[in-house]
Amino acid sequence: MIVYLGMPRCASTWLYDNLKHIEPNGATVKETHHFYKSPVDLKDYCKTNILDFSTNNWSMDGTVVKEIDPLVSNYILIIRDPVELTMSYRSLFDISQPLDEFTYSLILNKMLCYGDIIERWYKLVDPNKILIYRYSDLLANNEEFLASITKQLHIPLASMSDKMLKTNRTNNYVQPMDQETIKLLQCKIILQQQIEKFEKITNIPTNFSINNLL
Amino acid sequence: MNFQIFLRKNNLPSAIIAIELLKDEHMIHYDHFSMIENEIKKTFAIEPSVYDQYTLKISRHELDLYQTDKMIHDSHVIVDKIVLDDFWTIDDKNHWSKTIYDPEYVAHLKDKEVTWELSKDLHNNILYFNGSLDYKISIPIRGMFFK
Repeated sequence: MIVYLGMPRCASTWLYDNLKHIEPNGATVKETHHFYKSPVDLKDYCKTNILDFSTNNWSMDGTVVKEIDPLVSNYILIIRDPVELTMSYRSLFDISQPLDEFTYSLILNKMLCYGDIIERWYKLVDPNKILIYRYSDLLANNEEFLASITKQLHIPLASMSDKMLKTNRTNNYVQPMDQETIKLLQCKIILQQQIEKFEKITNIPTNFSINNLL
Repeated sequence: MNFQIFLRKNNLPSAIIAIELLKDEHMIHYDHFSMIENEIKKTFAIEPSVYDQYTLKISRHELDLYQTDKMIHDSHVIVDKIVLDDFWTIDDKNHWSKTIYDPEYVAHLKDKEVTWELSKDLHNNILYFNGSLDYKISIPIRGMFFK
């Protein structure tokens, strides 16, 4: 089984559409969130499905990971500039929520903490199973990106889905108000630490620039 | 799933602490110990068979301290942080606790003519000498943090 760890807002739907042809039953469901249900039939699920593309998989419980890992061939993690990701994710919610509060809530629930996430997963499973890709590489050349993923996963490359990739970049950026500045600065420091930690653990340069946050 | 509980005290020679994990009325885990060190980490693990909500209760019932001249602020224990599943952190940035005061403790404070309103400060990380800090822990964990 191939498990997409995350992140959300990193072209997971586009990638799923381009990989789902390997599902013998023609799976059409992307966000199953199966690993968030009571862990009673995890092994059966892993044996009968080839893909799981739930964007919250990065945060599944450690006991679940231990149970399914023997049945998982690869995990896919796509990383995106945390500021871009925040703006994109925010567009799904009430954008009247102050940017500092929203960003901080994403940090508290670890979604932007790439360093902590990869540190945890490297402890939980064989790091060689985790394939890490940059969202920026996908934007630069999606055909090359897809070819690279399918090659690493040893799966056939189908004709690319004609669905256009919705880039949804930082168009909805709002200049923070004065009272937000201090908290945003704190967020910026945390994010910088997380990026440095991620790069140190994986030896993968992210090329992220979080200066847009302030 | 692992629970790591980081406790600290300052001016007490020791503290008697109980840690319980409850699901409804059922005890999943229980530990009872004397804390001599100023800082200590207690860990335990459970294997949840179903995803549900649990209550983590950290409590003290040190009734002897009523008879001492210890100020209530001198005699507390601080729960610095709780780390769940080696990943999720509950600390002073995100209080999930609820302070439960023993009625006897409240009466004691009234006798001491303490003026602050206890009910206004229920969500903190301070464990007084007769009462508990209760944490609602939902598994899977991330749901607790996601707003």
